[in-house]
Amino acid sequence: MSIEDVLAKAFRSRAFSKAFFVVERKGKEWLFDCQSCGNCVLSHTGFICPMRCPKSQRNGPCGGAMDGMCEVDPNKRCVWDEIWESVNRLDRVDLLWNNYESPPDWRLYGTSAWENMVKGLLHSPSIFETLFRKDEPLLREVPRVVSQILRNWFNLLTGPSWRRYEGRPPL
Amino acid sequence: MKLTELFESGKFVVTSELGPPKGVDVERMLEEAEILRGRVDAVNVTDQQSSVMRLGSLAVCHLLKQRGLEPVLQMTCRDRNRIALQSDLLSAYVLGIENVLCLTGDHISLGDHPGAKPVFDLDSVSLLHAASELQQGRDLAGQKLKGSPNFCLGAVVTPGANPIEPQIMKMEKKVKAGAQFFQTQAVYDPRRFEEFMEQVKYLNVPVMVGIVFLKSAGMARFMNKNVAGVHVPESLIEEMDEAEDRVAKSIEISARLIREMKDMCQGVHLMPLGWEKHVPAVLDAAGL
Repeated sequence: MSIEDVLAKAFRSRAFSKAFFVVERKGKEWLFDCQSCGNCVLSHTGFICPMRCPKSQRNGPCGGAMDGMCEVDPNKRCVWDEIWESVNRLDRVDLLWNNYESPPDWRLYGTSAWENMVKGLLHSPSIFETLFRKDEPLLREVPRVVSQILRNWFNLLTGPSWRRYEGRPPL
Repeated sequence: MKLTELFESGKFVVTSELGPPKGVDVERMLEEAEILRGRVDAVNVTDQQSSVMRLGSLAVCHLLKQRGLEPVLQMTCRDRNRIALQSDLLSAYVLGIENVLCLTGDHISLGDHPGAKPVFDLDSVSLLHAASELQQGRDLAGQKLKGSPNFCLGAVVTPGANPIEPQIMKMEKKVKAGAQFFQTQAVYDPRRFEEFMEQVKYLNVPVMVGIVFLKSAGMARFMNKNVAGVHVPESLIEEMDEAEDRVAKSIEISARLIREMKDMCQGVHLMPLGWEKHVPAVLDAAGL
């Protein structure tokens, strides 16, 4: 039985589902500034949430970024600039390059992406995709991903717009 | 007439841009369109350019079509969700509009209604995907259509972006989603454009180089500072600065750029930004 099968069984319990979602949501909010779209593609985008982009771009940069800064808020780094940097550090540009991300299913907004994944409701990738790579042993890959997530998190915390208006265009 | 037919015939395709007015007085815009008649192969009609609310692209495309001009309908994802976008694609086809340019669109905060709700339900890649699905006789939800449209789908790319790889990645995704030609952001540096064309050669898709008329040295400096992916070299700014007749100089520069880049790409897309009346002069000087 795979991890996904075990989780699918556990999610049948409403209490587990609710508790899991609270942990997932709060954790992802802290780590990735998650927007709870319920259609998670983090494992393709180098663990930077593309829904933070004011234009919600899931397939690539819009062409409006100036020197890596967002056109909507020039104090803020372009989310796709961050994504590009992160996938290059993880050496997983292929995941970004070869996958067409379908538009999100808005019925899933505000629900657990893990639960949606194990229930087969998502077209988007398995969360394990970045971790499990055939040619690399898990022991090498996990620390690499974790350290990159922490690095992204640090960038998010020290980002120039952190105190001002996270995720919102300026008035 | 689809632009793809022209590309296939080996013609160097010329398009120009037309901005609908803010209001219902279309007289002047149609006069500007008349200047383009016979000189360009198709006319792009912008969709709420710079997020400023104005007359719709679909209606203006229809007006052009009625007058025998070939329109390119620009569609952005900013203001409509996937239902409205697909429906407007069907409407366009019924009105005889065959060329559609799919873009993400400027963000709402840059326009005149900054407090409006940004939609961005689809992005440019998924909009192209949606249009391709409609051509296959089904919509994004997989429902069957009664009669399917047949478009020539276009998309845009910024050859001057830094880094360029993400742009090429998105361009490849657009080609896979059904883009049949590309129009570019303004290019002022032929050497950089040549490098870009070399990098995207493998996609084997027609590219139309974008030319924005330089109106003054100040405009060039403004674009360098504020417009993403556009770099006007210092030498051109100096040329504009020293020119006595700005219009003549601007025409000369645009024509020179077109001549230099003509052999690298399959067409040119002019963005006159109000200088529509000088388009014929530029094309004459460029030998088109």
